Amino acid sequence: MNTERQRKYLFLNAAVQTIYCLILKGNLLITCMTEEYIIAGCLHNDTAAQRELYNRYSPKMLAVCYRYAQNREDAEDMLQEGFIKVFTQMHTFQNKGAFEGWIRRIIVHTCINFLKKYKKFNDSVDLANAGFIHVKEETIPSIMQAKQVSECIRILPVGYKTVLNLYAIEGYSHREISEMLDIEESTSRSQYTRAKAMLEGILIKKKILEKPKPRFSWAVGLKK
Amino acid sequence: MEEEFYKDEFEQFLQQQANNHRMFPTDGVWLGIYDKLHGHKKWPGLTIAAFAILIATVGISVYFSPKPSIFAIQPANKTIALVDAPKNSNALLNLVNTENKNIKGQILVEKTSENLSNGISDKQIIHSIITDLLVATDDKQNNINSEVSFNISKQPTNTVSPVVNQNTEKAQHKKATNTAFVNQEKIIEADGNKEYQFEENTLSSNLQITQPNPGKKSTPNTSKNIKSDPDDRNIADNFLKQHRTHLADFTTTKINHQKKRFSYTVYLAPSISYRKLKENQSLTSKSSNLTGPVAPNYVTDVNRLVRHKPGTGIETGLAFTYHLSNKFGIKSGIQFNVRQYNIEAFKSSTELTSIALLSSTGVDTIRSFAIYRNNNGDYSTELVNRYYQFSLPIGIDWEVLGNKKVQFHVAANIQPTYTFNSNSYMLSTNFKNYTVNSGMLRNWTINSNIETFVSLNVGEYKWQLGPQLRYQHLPTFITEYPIREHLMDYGIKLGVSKQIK
Repeated sequence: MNTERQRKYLFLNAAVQTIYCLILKGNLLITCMTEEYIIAGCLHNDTAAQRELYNRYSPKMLAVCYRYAQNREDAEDMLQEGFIKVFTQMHTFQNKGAFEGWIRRIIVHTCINFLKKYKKFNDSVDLANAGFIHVKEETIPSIMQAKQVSECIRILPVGYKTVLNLYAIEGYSHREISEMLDIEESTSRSQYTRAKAMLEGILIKKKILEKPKPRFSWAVGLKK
Repeated sequence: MEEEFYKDEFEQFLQQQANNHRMFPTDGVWLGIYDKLHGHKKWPGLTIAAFAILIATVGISVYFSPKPSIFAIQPANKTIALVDAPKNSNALLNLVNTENKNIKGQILVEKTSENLSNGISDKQIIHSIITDLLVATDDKQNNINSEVSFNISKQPTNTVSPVVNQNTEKAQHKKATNTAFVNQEKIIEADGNKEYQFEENTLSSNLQITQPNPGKKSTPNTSKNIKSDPDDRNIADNFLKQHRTHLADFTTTKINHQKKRFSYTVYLAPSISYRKLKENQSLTSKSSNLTGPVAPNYVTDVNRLVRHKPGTGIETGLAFTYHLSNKFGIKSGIQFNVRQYNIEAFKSSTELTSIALLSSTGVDTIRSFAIYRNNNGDYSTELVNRYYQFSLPIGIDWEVLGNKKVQFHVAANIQPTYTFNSNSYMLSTNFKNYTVNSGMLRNWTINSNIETFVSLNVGEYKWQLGPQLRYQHLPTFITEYPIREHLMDYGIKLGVSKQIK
C-alpha cells in the first residue's frame, strides 16, 4: 500500500515538473524529467523514462563495469545485465539514499556475479612475481588521466583488481568484500595490499604518479 | 606533502579518477535492454510490405497462370502451337473437334492441298496458311452460318477444293477459305448427292479431288450426319512432317521490337535512411606525426561514440527504359530523394569547438560555435540531418524469370547525385560537439542502387513492387573532413510503367 502511495506521489510530482517545463521552457523535452519523474516512469515501464535513465547513468556505469571486465564486450554485457536488474528491481528503491548509489551497487554486484561465473578470486599473484607482469605500453592510450588510471587498474590480475575496485573505489570493507567474493577476509586484505603496490608501480612507470621520496630523507641528508 | 598524498590519499586519488571516467556504450546495449523489457522491437512496415508482396505474388500466380508451370513461355496463338507439337497432324485435325477451332483446321487442310498442287514454295504455303488462319479468326462471327464440305471424287488428279454453301447473303461475298466450317466428322459429297465414307488411313496416290458440280447444291451438315475424313488427316500429316521447321518459324511469338523498345516508369519508394561512419584512414595515418587535435582521438570506432537512429525517407522519380531484348533493358531518368536520420545529442550553452581538416600537407583547424554536445549537457535532444537530393540514375534491368503476366526483375543503377541543403550537423574533431558548417557539405556525390521487384501486367500498365537498397559511396562531407559519412536507404519501391507507342 505504501509503495502504491509512493508511486502516486512520485507520478504527481513528475506531472507538476512536466507542467513547469512546459510553461517555463516552452517545450516538452524528455530531459526536463527530474529524477522522480524518471523513477515514476520506470515504475510504469515507460520506455522514454527508461531511456532517459539509461542515457544519464550508462556512461558512468560502463566505466565501472570496464574496470572489472577483461574487455569492452564483457563490460557491455555486464552493463546490460545490470540495467535490466535496475529496471526490474526499481520498486525496491526506497528513496532513502542517492539513486545513483543504488544503481551503482546493483551494477557492481552484477559485475561480481559475472566474474564469479568464470573466475576464482582466491587465485592471486605474489608480489614477488608482479615484476614479471608485462605492462603493454600500447594498451594504455594517452587520452586522459582518468582513462589511463582505469586502464592501469585493468592490467592487474582479476583477483587484485576486483578487491582494489571494491575497497579503494567503491568503499566496501574487507568483511563485505570477503562475503561478496566468498574469500577469507585476510585474503582480501593481502590481495588489496599487493594490488595497491602493483598499481603504484604501474602508475609510476606510466608517470602518472611520482616516485615517493624516502621517508627519512632528512636522516639521509644528515648522514651526508 | 607529496609523500602524504601518496600514502594516505591514494584511495581518494583512485576514487576521483574513477569517478571522472566515462565510457559510452554502443547502441546494442540499449537494444538488448529494450528487448528484455519490452520484447523484440517490431518493424511493422517491413512485415506488412513483405506480407503484401508475398500475397500479391501468390495471388497473381494462381489467378493468371492456372497451368502447372506458371513460368512456361506461352505461344501467342494456341491453335498454331498445337501444330508445332510432336504429333502435329493429329493435333491439327483435332482442332476440328471443337466448334471454335473448326475453321482453322479446315483452312489448313485446304490451303495445304491447294498449294502443294500448284507448286508454290514451302514458305509461301505456310505464310498463306497462317494469314488465312488469322483472318478466319476475325471473321468467325460473321460466318457462323456458313458451312463447307469437301466434294471429293476419285479422279486422275490430286486436287482439293472447298465448296461453300452459304446460307446468308452477306456470307456469299466472303472467301470460301475464310468461311469454312468443318467438323471432324463430315459429309463427303461426291458426284452430286451421293454420300459415302472413305475407309480410315487410306490415301491412294491416284486420289483425285475435283471441283464439285456447280449445278448441284450441297446439303447443310448437321452434327448427326458428319463423318470423319481420313484423307484430310493424311494430307495434313504429310505436310507437317515435311515442313515442320518452317512451321516452327510461325509458331513462336514475335514482338514488334521497334514499337515496344521504350517504356517509362513512375515510382515511389518509402524508405528507412541510415548512415555509416568511417574514419578516413589514409588521412589519419598521414597526420599521425602532425601536431593537432585529431590523432589522439581516433582510438576507437567512431560509430561507438555517436548515438544515431534511422529516419524515414522517401524516393520518387521517373525512369525511361530501353529494352535491348525481351529480358534486358537499360534505364535512365530523374529521381528525387529525401533522406534523414536522427542524432541523440545534448543541448548546452554555446561553446567553441574545432574541426580539423586533414590533408597531405598538414592539419587545418576550423573554429565553430556549437550548442549541442554529443555526450552530456543540460538536457537531451534529437538532431535531424535531412538531405534533399536530385539524381540521374543510369542502370540496367534484367527480367530473371516470368511469363506474360508476372515477372521477377533484378535491377541496379549508378546515380550521380546533387545535394541541395547546406545545413547538416557534423561531429567536431574531439567528438564532443555537433556543429553546422555549410561549407563542409559536398554537393555532388555518387549513389548506387540495387533492387528486386515483382511486376504484374495489367492492361497497358505494368505494376511493380519490391525492396531496394541505396548506398552513397562518396562521403557527405568534403574529403578533408576526417569522418566519412555514407548514407544508406532501404525501402520498398512501388512503380507503374507503360510502353511508349
